[in-house]
Amino acid sequence: MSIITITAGSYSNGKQIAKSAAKRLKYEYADSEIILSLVSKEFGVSESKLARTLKDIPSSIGMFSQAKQQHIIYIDTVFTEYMLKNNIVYYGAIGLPFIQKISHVFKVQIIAALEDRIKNKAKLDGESQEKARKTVVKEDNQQKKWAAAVYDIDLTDPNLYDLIINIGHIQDDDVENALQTIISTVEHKKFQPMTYSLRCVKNVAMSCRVRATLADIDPKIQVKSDKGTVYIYTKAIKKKAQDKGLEMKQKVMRIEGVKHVEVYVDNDLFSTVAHGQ
Amino acid sequence: MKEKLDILLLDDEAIVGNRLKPVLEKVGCDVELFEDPKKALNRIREKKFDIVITDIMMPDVNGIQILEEAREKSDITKVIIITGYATVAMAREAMDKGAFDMIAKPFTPDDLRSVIAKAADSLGYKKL
Repeated sequence: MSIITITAGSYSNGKQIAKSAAKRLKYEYADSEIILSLVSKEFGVSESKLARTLKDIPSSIGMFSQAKQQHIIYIDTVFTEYMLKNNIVYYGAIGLPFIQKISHVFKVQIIAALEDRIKNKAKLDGESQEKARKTVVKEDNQQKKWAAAVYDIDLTDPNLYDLIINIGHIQDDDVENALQTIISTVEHKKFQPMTYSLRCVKNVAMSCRVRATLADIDPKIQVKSDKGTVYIYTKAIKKKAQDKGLEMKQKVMRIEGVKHVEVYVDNDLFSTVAHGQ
Repeated sequence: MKEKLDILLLDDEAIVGNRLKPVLEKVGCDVELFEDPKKALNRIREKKFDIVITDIMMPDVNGIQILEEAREKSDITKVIIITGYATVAMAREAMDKGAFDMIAKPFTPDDLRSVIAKAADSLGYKKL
C-alpha cells in the first residue's frame, strides 16, 4: 500500500525498472503518457498539444502562453488525483513537487553514466554514438530546464528523492539489483499510508482541482486546501477585486468536497498602472 | 476478550484531552486521560493498554518516547500519534517505530473515531 515514483534520465532503463517493479509488486504502472491521455479525455486538449507543453521550455512558467499554463494545471490536477490511489509505480518527473510532502510516496531516482546511456541508445536505436550522444544530452538538458522553469526545481537535487540508485553500466544484473533495492525498501513501514499522509494527498489534489477550475479566469492563482476548506490567493485591479473574488468563490463551491472558500485578492499594481487606474 | 478497549490519552493541552475523552467513552472505551507525559509514561510502564493516543510535541517527554515505551511494554498496543506539527520526517519516524496511525491537528471527533475503529478492528474488536 504505497506509491513509488521513479525518475531517470533517458536510456537509463528507468521505465523498464518501473514497469518491472509494478509487475512484481502487483501495483499499477503509470507514466506521463497515461496521465496525458487522461488529461486529454477530461479537458478536451489533444495529447499532441499536451506533449508539446512538456517539451517547450519557457524561461519561467509565467512566460508560457495562457493555454500552456492551463495545460500544466490540468496535467498537475490529473496527476495528483491519480496519486489518491495506492499501489502505483509512476515513472516520470511530472508532478514531482506535489508529492514532496506525502510520506507514503517513495521517490526514487535512477542515475547511470552518460557514456553508458549513449551506448545503450546507440545499440537500441542502431545509430552512431555521435548521434546518440546529441540526443541524450539534448533530452537531459530539456528535462532539466523544463522542470526548473515550470516547477522551480532542480531534478538533480538529491533532496527531492528518498533513494538514488546508480545503476552502473546498465547491464541486466544492474537493473535487477536496482529493482530488488526498490522493492525491499518500499516495504518499510515508513512508506505506508496513514491518515495524515492520505489527508496531505487529498489536500494537494483538491488545490490542483481548484486551480484547474479557475484556470480560465487566472492561471497564476495560488491555492491551499485543508479538508474541504480552500484558500485562494490572486491579484486583480482594485476596481474588479470584489467581482473576481465572488466569481472564483461561486465556481469553487461547486467542486465536490469543497465546504468553505476564502479568496484573498491583492492589488495588481502592474495592471492598475497599465490601465491608468 | 474484554468488552471495552483500554485507552491512554495523552495531550499536554487540557482542552484537547477534555474534548476527546467523551468522544471515546461514547463509543465504549475506557479512557485514562493524562496531561503530564511523565505520569503517562509511568502508567504505560504499569499497564498494557489496547490503544495509546499521544501528542508529539510536549515538554520533557515527547510522543516518540511514549510510542517506544508503549510498544516495548506490549507490541499489540496500537499507538496513534496526534500532532499539530506534522512533517514527512516525523510521520516516517513514527511509522518506522511502530505507530499505528498519525493524525494531524485540527481533526474532528469523526476522524478520531474512524482511526479508533480501524485500530479496534485490528485488535479483533469488531463492534466499535
